[in-house]
Amino acid sequence: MASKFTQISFRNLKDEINEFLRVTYNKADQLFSPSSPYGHILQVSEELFQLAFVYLQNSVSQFDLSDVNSNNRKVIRSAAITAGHNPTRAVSASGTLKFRLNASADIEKDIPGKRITIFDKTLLKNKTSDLNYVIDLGGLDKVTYPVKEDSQFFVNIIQGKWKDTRFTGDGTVNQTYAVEVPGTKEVENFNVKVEVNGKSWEIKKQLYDMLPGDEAAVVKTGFNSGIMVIFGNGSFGKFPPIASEIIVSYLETDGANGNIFRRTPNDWQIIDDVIDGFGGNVDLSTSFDTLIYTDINFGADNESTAFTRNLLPISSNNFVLALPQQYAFAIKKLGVFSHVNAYQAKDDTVYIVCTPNIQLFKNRNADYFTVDLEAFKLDNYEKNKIDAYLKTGGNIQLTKKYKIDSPKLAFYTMNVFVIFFDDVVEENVNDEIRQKVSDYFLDFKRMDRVPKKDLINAISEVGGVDSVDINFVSKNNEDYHRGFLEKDVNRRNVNLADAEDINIQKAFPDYNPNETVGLDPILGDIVFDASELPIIRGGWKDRNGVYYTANPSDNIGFTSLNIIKKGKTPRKNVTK
Amino acid sequence: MSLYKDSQLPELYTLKHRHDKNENDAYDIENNILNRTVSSFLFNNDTMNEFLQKMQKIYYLWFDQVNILRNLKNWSVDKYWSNHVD
Repeated sequence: MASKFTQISFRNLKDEINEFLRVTYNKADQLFSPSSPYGHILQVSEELFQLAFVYLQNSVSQFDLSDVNSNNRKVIRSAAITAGHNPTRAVSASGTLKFRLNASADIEKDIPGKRITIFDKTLLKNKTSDLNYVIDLGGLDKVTYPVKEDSQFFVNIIQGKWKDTRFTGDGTVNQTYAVEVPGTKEVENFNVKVEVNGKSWEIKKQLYDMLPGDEAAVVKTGFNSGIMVIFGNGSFGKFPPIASEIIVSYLETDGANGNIFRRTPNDWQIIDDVIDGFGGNVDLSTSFDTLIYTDINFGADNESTAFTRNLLPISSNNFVLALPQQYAFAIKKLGVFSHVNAYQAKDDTVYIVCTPNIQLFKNRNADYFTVDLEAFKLDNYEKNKIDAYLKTGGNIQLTKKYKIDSPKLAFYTMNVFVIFFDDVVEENVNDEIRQKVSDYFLDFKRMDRVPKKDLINAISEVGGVDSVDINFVSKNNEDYHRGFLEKDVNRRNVNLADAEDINIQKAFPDYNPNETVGLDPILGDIVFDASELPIIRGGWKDRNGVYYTANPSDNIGFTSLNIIKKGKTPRKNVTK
Repeated sequence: MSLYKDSQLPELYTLKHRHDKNENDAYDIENNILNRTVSSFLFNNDTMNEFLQKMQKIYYLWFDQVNILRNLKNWSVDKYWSNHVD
């Protein structure tokens, strides 16, 4: 209200000035008008004054935590940082390239000196995505490879481009510098280097990790964007002297966009120099084939606003990884896993089960039902990456052991019973239902069950659906029953002495005909263990020998997702 | 005229920022706020140009004063810091 009053006052003031000038010079609207110099300046003054007020309002609103449903990124991010949480920034995709001398290369001519030298942070560009990648030599400045026939070498690459910002030390304790980057760009979560007067300073996780006189700095996610670099106070870490040169180098990343799903050969352009044996520049693309050797993946966007809000209550401010949920939190923060569960077994080992975020790795045209099953599992390369991350991302409690594993896939098929409206094209509605189910499972975050209600709600949103119900068929359940039923059939074929023997439970006391493995016996929801991940995928037979194919697009028999029409409702019968 | 700069001795300010170089520096509104908002034709007149350059500092102050509030919780920067990129 106050600001509104001020704006009105200012307008009145402007009107009074206008009036004064008109009266004084007595040339109203001739020498003085909005298009005359001072009229124009007055107009601009008013606009700028109002803009200053908008800026003021925005600055005040960053402290407004009264709206519990607020999705204002800056508000939540700065509140989280104030509370001690360090929001995860984007993570660059990384992988390995293989350079192989091509058959047509003339070594003498193309590579003088028969060796090439590659430098750390050499910039490459992916031709398809037009994104930058840099060579990561793991701490070495350069590597020289001899070149002969059939030569090949491997280099690790990471998505992004190294940039640096320079500051000047002011000689104060705990001096802090903010490295801000414009909105669309992000400072990579792990790749930041700090140099003071040309000497590299170590990056520590928190101030108390620094020893007296330790040449180290703490890097945290910045309030507005980017990062902040915090130096010590002498007792905990050294601080740069006045007028010293501080260089903060960081990898500017494009996050999840940097993941590469296809292994297109020769899809790379090397931007920076690669040196031959005589010190001249050599164009690797003419003499070497460039191939993707290990997948370029694990790129993730920064922590979403909703994610920051949800994780705040379980954040470990002391960085100690002790409880299973703290392990789960540390890995979830990475943002590259859709499903993370950690649980402690009797042997005191923390078992961590993660599923890669399929949304990041799947082909754009693929949906949940056509993604390769391997995409739901972690390979050794990915497990090693998580292991390395946990060891650098937190202090693992002494004597604590952990094991990273892929979830055991528990297979299900899903039947959807639908009554359509009479004015819809059923194929279109079927496609929409499939899309809804696909979206639900691609974004699946539950740890215990798949409530039928969630899926029914999602399918109910499809416009052409009047009524819907679903049920699941569990492979584990079908295997359980089929196992006993087959044994029973075999038993009957061999020996059936009297009528009493026809009772399967008498023959197999362990068998429970009412058992529902992987399903809630009352509600029919999917239920699963901490080590499992339910997946709607066919490719198996039920207890009656009915085969469910994997792809719902197959029009033969039953598939992973069966949409069964139970009737039609005339639209006119539905009164709104 | 920037509050951040004016809050320090000029010699110390120069000493403490002699190496500063940031390609993501905020847009220099202090010296451009009027240049970019009023007609460039007005700057052809020397008197008017001088007047506008003086006014520009005042206009910038409206925005610069808000930065104090914006930086209130941000303990990583100076109270008067104004190099916000967005």
